Amino acid sequence: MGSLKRKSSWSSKTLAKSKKRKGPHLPNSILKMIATHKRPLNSDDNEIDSDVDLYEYEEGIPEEESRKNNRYGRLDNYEFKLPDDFEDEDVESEDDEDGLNSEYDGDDDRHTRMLQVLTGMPSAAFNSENKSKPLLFTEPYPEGEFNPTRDVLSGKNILTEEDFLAPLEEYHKTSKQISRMRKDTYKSLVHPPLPKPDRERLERKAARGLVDEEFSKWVHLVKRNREAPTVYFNQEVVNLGKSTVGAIASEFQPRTEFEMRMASVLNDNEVSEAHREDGARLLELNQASSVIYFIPCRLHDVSMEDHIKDYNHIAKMRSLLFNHERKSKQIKKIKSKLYHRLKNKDLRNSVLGALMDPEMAKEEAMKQEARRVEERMTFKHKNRGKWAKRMVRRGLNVKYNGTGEAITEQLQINAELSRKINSLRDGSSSDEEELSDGSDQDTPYKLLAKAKEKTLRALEDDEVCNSGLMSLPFMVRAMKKKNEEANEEAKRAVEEYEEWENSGGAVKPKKTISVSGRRVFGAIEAPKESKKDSDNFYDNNSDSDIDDNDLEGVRDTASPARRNTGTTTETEVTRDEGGEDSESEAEQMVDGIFEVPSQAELINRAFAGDDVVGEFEKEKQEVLNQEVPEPEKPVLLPGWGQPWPTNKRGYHQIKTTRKEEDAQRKREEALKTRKDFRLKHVIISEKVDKKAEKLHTTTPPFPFTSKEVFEHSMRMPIGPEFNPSTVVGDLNRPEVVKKTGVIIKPVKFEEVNPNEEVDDEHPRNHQKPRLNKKTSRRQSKVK
Amino acid sequence: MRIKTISRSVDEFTRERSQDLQRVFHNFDPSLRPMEKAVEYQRALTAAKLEKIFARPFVGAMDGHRDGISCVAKNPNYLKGIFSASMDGDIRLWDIATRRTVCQFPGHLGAVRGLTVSTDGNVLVSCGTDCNVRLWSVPRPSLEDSDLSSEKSTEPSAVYTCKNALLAVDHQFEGDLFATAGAQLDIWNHNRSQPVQSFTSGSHSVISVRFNPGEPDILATSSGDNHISIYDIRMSSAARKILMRTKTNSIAWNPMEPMNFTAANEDGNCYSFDGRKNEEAKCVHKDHVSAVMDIDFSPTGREFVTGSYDRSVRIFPYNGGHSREIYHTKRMQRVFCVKYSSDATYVISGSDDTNLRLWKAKASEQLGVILPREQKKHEYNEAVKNRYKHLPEIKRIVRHRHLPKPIYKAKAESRAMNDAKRRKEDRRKAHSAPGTVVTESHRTRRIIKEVE
Repeated sequence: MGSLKRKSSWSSKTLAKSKKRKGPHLPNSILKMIATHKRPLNSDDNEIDSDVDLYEYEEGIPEEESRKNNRYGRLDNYEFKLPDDFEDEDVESEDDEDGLNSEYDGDDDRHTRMLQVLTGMPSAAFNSENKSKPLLFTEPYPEGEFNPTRDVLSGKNILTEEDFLAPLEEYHKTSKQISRMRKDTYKSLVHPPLPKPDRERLERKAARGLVDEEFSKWVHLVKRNREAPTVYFNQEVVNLGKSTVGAIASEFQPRTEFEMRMASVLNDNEVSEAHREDGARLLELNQASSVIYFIPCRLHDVSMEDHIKDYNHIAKMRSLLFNHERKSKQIKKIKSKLYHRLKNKDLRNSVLGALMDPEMAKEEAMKQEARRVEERMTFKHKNRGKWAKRMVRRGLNVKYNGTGEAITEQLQINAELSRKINSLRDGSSSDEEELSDGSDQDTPYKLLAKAKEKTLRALEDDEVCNSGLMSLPFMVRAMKKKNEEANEEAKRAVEEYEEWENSGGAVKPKKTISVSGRRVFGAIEAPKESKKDSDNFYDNNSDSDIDDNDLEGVRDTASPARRNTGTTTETEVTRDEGGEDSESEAEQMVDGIFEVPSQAELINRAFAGDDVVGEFEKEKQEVLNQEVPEPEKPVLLPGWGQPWPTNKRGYHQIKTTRKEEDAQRKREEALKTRKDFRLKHVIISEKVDKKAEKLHTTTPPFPFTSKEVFEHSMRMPIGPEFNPSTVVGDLNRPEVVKKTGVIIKPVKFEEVNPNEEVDDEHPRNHQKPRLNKKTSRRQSKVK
Repeated sequence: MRIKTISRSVDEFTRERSQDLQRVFHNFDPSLRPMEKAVEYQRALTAAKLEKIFARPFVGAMDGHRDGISCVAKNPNYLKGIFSASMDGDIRLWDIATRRTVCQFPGHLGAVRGLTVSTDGNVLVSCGTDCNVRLWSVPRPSLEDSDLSSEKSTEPSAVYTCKNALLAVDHQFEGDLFATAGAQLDIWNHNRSQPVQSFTSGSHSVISVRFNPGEPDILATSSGDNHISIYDIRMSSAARKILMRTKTNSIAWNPMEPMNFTAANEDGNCYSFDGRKNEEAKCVHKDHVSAVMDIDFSPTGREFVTGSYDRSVRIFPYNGGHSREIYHTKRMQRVFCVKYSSDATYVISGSDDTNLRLWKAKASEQLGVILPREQKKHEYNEAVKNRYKHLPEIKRIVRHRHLPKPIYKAKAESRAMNDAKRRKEDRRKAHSAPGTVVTESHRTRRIIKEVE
């Protein structure tokens, strides 16, 4: 177009010149030439417009002049449209005009020739530029029938077929033919092609629609793939070639000489037959042995499992026996007499030896009994030993943990022993218990009578057994002593019983009888019985103020009653005191002597001792120091760095450096920026927990919009320790699952139902192609 | 009286072999394991560190060419076969398992600029600046080939001559057409010496051409006048044209999403487009500091690899703005061509230093046969790392890459420049009437328009 413009401007210049010179009297030839170059009916308006602009701009024909042309009759219209026509000339054939133009523009011809020489291209290429050249022709001949007027040529008053046919339409016969002819003429009407850019644009538009359609059919497939949590590639079984050694070996072909020879040997019939025979014999032997082995099983008709069990058992016993024999042999070999003596002694002493010899067993039992008796007779476990007494007296049991523990251990052993005794006694005197049980409903009189009777009996048969351990002199002495004590106690008890009987059972016993385990064991039953009775007595007197727990204490401890009473009195005393105090206060209030203090005073009085505000300030200061630490003071070694006392007071004057000042200022600023700087009574900690910080992000990361969702995504652990093994695989599955070494083919089209629910349970199914008839038809249509 | 005992059947707990694992039972009650998050975080941290330790992406270099490697092609039917061509007209077939040249294809006189293999892997098509298109029959891989140390050479099965130098070639997926790019875009059939179809557009030459693997009739080209065009070879003209500010060196279609393609641009960015809406890019992949020379999609469609003039190879996620990996060596020069292997496990790059390099697509991946238990462990590590990737410490470790000094400096510089620009724009915005200064998004900034 650029070149066109240039040319057109040149030609229009000439035109304008001629116009200017000649005014309205244009030569006919020029006018005719213009007429021949008039534009056809359907040309592109846009292009013309653009050309008009250019023409007007470059020419600069004043408006008045163009208007002046109005004076020249029918030419005026035409002149105004003149530039429009030039554009059309490009589209129309141009070769004809070239010939005509050549005479007018010699310069152009020369120019084209020059171009031709320079570029070596045919002149046609350059001449095409000339088509835009507007030319002026005048009409040298007068208007007439054979010389159409300008109007006609410009397409305004053109004669068409219709003009000729119109009068014929009145006749009906011809009208049909005419209409048919008219149709034909319309059909044969060929529009000129559009300019190339437009044409291309239209073509692109059409192609774009088609391509977009092609692309759009993939949308569902792509969407499904993208949304799938995992995409699988090549999960169907792929043949990767021979995988086993056997498969490779089966296709082995001997190639080299050696291999050939080997093959000939291996494939030799004789050899293989011999081998087979050998194999058969071996097999036979094997079978024979197995048959022999299995015969007993069949005889006994035992199941296989039982047989295996038996077999294992026998094997185990055998091995045990073997080991034992080996060991005994080893022992027998030892020559040391001392060893054997000790061994025999051990054997005798051991339970095994006792079992062997009844006499020995008896002796052993006696010995054990004696040991037991000895232990029970001593005061060892009651903290009455010398050591224990000393410890208790000096309070060492409290001071030292070890001694305390030892003493408690002794007591515990004692308690255990006594429990044993009780249980023993229960076993021995079950009938008595029955009696006593029966006497639960009995009156105290009866009980007392019974107790008395029993005590007396005990006093009477005060016999001492003289055999065994008891015959020992110290034992005899001890027994005597104990017996005397017991007797005395029994007598006292009897007296008491008598008293109670006299008083009619109304009097409560002041003091319970102290009982000890040793006494119980020592063949004297009287105190035990009495104690038993007293127990019953207490049980029956349910209205007594001593409860069952205290009774337990009575049984176990040496002087329980006293202790019990002590505690009760104490509590009572305290209660009484409290009562008295309250009473006195109440009295005061009632009397009006007591002055009621104000609330503030009360609080002041209540918190008189503690300085709350001061404490809080101190605490806050501590927190601040911790979070915004004070800058370090320079450390001065004595005698270094500073001259001797420079201060008035005689201390070292430490000069603050700028660094320190900076640090101090920084600290103050940091304190000022704190949230609790202005809040006197609040501490807001700004300490960051570094260990916790690494588990958090400052803002939720990109795909997450809220903190909660982000936290939620990390809530459940995914490890195998925290999840059952059935789920772990699904939780940890990567986004893309592929196999190394298998070629992945590009996507294949398949029909996808967009409304289909994506099942996460079986993601593998997604990859399976589901081609149906519809798809194939559509594909064929596309192609 | 109730006695609680542990009863377990012997059969379930007896191991068949001594190497077998003992069955372990866990109580999954969360109240018994209050520290699970901390435990998993620690594991993620360890996994991230281990990944760094095991990151050894470079598998090997293939040396043999005498000039810079201009293009690489992978055999779509045979995993080990990789073709490469150099600027001196030498074409080689490599066996990447042994990393040796299997065969040579001599014939081109000038630089070979385009190389492609038919889908069945039988025909190799090459084109170059000597205006020739040469078709070669690819030797069939066999066991004997790998044994022999000597390299074979073959003659071209056909030579077709054009008027102009050719810059790129690509083969249709599952068809027998291929397209060459030069002064115009030509579509050829294997058996015809003249192009079946030609597309001309503008006066500039077409730089690259790539067929769509999903839609075999659609192809995309980029031309020297900064256009990207999409053609349907059943139509007579382009379907779409995008005009960008800078030239596009290469284009790759996503093999799993046929409507999407990514263009490697001269300005160092890659632009992912949806073929239906081209007025803005779907995603801008930034990280290279110099022109991106070549791009290739992973067959999984989830990643693509780019080679750049800044002497580095990067791997991007298909929807991520920044690369997940950068590969570089001291000796690697300008990278002219990259390819993702057909099993999405390796990356091959050809560079100016005459070497073909083989990389692992995942730097720390364990190669070879992996036992199921090991595989599970790897998966767990990956999952845990993925879960806690946003936490600062793990993010730092995972993202850290050592960069060559020139790239590091160039990045810093470009960052500074971008910051300055943004600052300036912010100020301009702040000091002008609201709405008058509009910031254009990165996705549309480099796209001038879509040509109607």
